[in-house]
Amino acid sequence: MKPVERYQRLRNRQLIAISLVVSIVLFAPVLLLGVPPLGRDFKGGSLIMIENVPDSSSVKSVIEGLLGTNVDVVPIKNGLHIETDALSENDEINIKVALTQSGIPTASVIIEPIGSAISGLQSEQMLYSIIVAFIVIGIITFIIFRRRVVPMAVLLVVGLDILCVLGYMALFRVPLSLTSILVIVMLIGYAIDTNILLAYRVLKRVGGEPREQVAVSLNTGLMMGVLLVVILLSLNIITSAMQLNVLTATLIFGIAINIFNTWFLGAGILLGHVARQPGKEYHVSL
Amino acid sequence: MSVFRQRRFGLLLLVVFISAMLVWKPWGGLEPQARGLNFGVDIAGGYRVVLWPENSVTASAYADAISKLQARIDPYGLLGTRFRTLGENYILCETPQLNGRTKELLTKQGRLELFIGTGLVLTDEDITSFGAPISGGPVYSSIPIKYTENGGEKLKVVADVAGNSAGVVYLDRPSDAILIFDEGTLKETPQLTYDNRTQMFVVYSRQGLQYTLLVPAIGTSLENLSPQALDYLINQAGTKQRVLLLGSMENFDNVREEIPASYQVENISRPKGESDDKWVKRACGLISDYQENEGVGAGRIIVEANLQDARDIRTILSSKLPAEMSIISETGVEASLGGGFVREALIAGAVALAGVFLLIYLRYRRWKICLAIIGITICEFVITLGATSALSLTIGLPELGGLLLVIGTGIDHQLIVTDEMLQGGSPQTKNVSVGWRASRALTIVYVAMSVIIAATIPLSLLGFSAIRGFTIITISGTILALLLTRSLYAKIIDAISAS
Repeated sequence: MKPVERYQRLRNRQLIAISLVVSIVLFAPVLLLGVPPLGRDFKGGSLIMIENVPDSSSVKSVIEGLLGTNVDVVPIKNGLHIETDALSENDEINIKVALTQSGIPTASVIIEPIGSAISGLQSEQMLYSIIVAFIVIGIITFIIFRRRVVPMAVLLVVGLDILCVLGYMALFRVPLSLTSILVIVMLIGYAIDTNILLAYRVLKRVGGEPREQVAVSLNTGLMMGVLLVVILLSLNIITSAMQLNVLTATLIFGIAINIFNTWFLGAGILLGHVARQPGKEYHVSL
Repeated sequence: MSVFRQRRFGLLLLVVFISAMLVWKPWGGLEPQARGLNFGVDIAGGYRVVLWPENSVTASAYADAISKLQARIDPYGLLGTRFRTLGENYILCETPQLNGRTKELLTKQGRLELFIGTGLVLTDEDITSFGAPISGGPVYSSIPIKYTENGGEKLKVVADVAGNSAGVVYLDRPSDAILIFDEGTLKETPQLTYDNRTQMFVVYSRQGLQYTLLVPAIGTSLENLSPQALDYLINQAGTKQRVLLLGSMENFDNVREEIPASYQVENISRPKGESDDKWVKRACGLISDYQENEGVGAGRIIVEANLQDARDIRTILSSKLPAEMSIISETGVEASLGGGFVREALIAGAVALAGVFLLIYLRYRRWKICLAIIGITICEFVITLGATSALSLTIGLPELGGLLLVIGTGIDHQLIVTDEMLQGGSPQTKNVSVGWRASRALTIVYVAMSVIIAATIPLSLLGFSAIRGFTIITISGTILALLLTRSLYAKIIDAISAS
């Protein structure tokens, strides 16, 4: 039996249950390992300012080896700015000693605590704006489709997508940063596309069974997802920028999970609604 | 009629051409930096400036200073400038561009004083707001101001008594400093004289009124500090902290050695073509010697500045800092996304398009459809970049995210249109007319685009500045695609399916 045929044979509740189970599994790392760690964009850290650096890469590896975490290196004229998590006094002394052993005098090294790029107030604003964006999505989809089930399905899918992405970030210890906020808002945009396509094909279909429509739209949706993944994968492989690599890798995961959630959870909810209300179908004479 | 002869196609070509010109800017010279795209510190590198407040400030004032500096340099968060605290007393500014104007905006406190005669009449606390400057020609501009009730009364009372005395407005008057000038360089002119008795400069306003610049000044030769100047500096050592040298540091090499160590020495250099009186006025912080009152509560100060400079003065006055800022260090930083990032991204874009082309061909087996999707995608990319250039957005990581979203959803929508039109969305609708299918396909696409735009607006209005560039690119790119390319693409697919 072909996968599409197997998919079409699944009952609505099965579709929803599979999606929820997978989402719970993907969200589990957040429950087991805790929420993704806050990145330096949110919590600040320390800035190591080094002048007259003979070999930047060796300095970076010395500090990373000492701290056991990744550091952000910004090359400056005749030196380096290295951003790390907040350093203790001991860490600072150890770094200065290690750098001295690498031939960099202590006088050329200044270490200062650095504040966050995104303040607490800005984080709150961002959270509120995402909540308002959710409300707006709900209102607009309700106005367009005139059925409560559409905003419910769209918002559930988008919400689950975000939770699964948080699970991925918790599992791979991807810190919450400006990059991860971008992933979330981009994912909302892509998820809107697939969910509107699905809702339109199911609720405003012309002839045919709703399940056939879902299968046809799954075909389109899969292709949409694959093309997006190709674009993101090219960027991920060819560019060497760490931030962009994190963004594209997380987004590829998000798009994959969105396809799954849309055509299991979203489709299950919409098909269940159609099955309960057969009188509200659109009929067009062919 | 062929789709290529339709008005819509001509309009798209025209917009693509204009966008390409905005991005390429062939009139901007051959230097890549002069082209029409501004890249952020992430992509093109920039500067890191460490600022230090000259007076000690509280923690809350420190946070306030950061938000005021942000409001001065990058009020809408579109220029890619960011501020962070550094240590306990410093502020780290990261900016793609650093020039004299940026430095002024970073360092000036924004302390306003209005004197009539030698009496201080108003300070910034007596002013409620500064309006948008109005150009009065290439040399003069006016800045509307509104006084507090108390301020308006004070001004009225003093002006009535003082009669024709000129009201003189200072911005950050260096009240803790002494000017030292070279007697050989600075000559007396009809507009500028030096009063030996008060040891201050006297200038004449446009209206012929005479007033004194309220900053002590003393002349010397460049060979060594004159005895009078040395005496004056020694006498004032307890009350004044700074010496401002009118000229370059090198010119005053001999003089500097003799200045008592208790003074902090700075210099005010003169740009080419600046007259003596303008130079001295600037050194004293004078911005206006003429005001117009419009009733008790409002007025205008006339500044000797073009509109852009007047806007900067207003920005500084409107966002007063708790203290004047000193630039402790300024360092050029390289791009954090890597030096060759733009080249890598272009290669990645080309590879991605090739992959998209191949996959679409495998799905539809029609190369014309592949060409149409790739062509429209490139057009949307160029148009969105053109919008970025027209809106003077700085492209950093968030803006790249916006571009990716516009391109990604663009390809999504073209696939939806293609599937609806070629396959009718379901096997049962293949017999429905192509026009009806096109209309249905476009409805799905327009609904999706409307929801994306509507969802992005709250992020733009409520979200913090770093995300604003992302939202503006997403909204503008989506709207332009909605207006220019979607229905045209449907017509192209219609033509391809008919052939």
